[in-house]
Amino acid sequence: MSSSTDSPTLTTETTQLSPQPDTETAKPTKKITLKSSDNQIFEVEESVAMEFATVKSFFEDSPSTDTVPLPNVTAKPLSQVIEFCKEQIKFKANPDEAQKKKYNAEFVTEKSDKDLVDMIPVANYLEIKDLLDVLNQAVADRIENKSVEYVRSFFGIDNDFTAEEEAALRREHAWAYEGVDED
Amino acid sequence: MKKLKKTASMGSKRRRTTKHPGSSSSSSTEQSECLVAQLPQALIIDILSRLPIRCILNCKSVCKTWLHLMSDPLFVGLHMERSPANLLIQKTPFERIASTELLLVEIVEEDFSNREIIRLFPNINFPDTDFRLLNSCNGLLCLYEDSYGKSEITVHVCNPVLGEYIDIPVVNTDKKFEQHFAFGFSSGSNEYKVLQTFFPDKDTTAAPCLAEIYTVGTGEWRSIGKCSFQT
Repeated sequence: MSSSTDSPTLTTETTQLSPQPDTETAKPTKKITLKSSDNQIFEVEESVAMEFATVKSFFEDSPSTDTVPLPNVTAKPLSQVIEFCKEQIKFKANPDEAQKKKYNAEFVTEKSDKDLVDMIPVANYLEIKDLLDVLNQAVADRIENKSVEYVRSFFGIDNDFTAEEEAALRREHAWAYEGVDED
Repeated sequence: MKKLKKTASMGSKRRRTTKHPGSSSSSSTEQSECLVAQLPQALIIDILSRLPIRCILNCKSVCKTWLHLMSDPLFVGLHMERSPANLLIQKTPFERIASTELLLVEIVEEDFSNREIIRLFPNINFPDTDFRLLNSCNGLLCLYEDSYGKSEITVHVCNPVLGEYIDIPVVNTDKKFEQHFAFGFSSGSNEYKVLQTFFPDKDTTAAPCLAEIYTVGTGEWRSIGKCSFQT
């Protein structure tokens, strides 16, 4: 699906490539080209690209473009996001809530912590509300009932409390620290 | 149990943030795998607001930024929206040997085995006074301190989960009146208010019924004039 090209350096401006209007529309499914910040090219069907609110409004503003630069998005999370949206299109055509729930659950279960967190800003930037909801819930589920230390290492957060401050905070809500899961 | 200043705005449930005002920038970690750095605060708020109360209290000591985030009105609002309904049960002992205890029970329709019960204790979660629970609203409790014979009585507005409360002093100026209190939230102004009504103790013809409103955060009672009182 993705092909590496030796394209010129990415600019945030709209790339004014010469459009080839009639040949594109003649095809049964129109393809849209997305370009990640690391210059990977993704050709996706129009229906998939329209799931990305950001891309959709980009096209509404400049309909003549055929490549959409995504300066904030790297290739890996983008490919996973595209994979998710492709499935969602199928569920739109054939609504099956149970299957959709199952797919969404599997989609996040098989991802590493890093992959999950990496996709969140992408889903946010592309304004894919359903995916953002699924991802945020998945991350919340992964840190639920975990120790403070586990949560810190999950996100790579440094403890910036002094020992006294931390002890005071823990005393304040001592009951909340009982019964957390083993890391 | 922390007593907050009377001017503290419980409307936003803001905590005192004396040590790190505006420490909203993401923590300055230089780790290569610092995943949190790439998440805007609004997204972190969204994720954390999905956690149950116990985990949120736990996460407060992750870092200063998070502690600050969890006092954000946006966070409080989102969390309230997403939290399951809770039932508050008051366990009052027959004699005044043991203290009153409150239980917060999550109402989860499907799964009864896994339901969270939070026990709330006097002095830790709410002030240990000979209180009467007036009512609760959005997770805040309004307690009324029963002090027979004293001219001054106190109403507490308390967040039992955070163990924070404020005092609202009420001066009973006229013994001819009996006071009644109620606590509520005005979604229009985003403020919590206590309503106090006075009605003549015995002779209802002797004086009109009066009402006063206390808006949490303002620190004072304001008369709203006469009120009709029907029994």
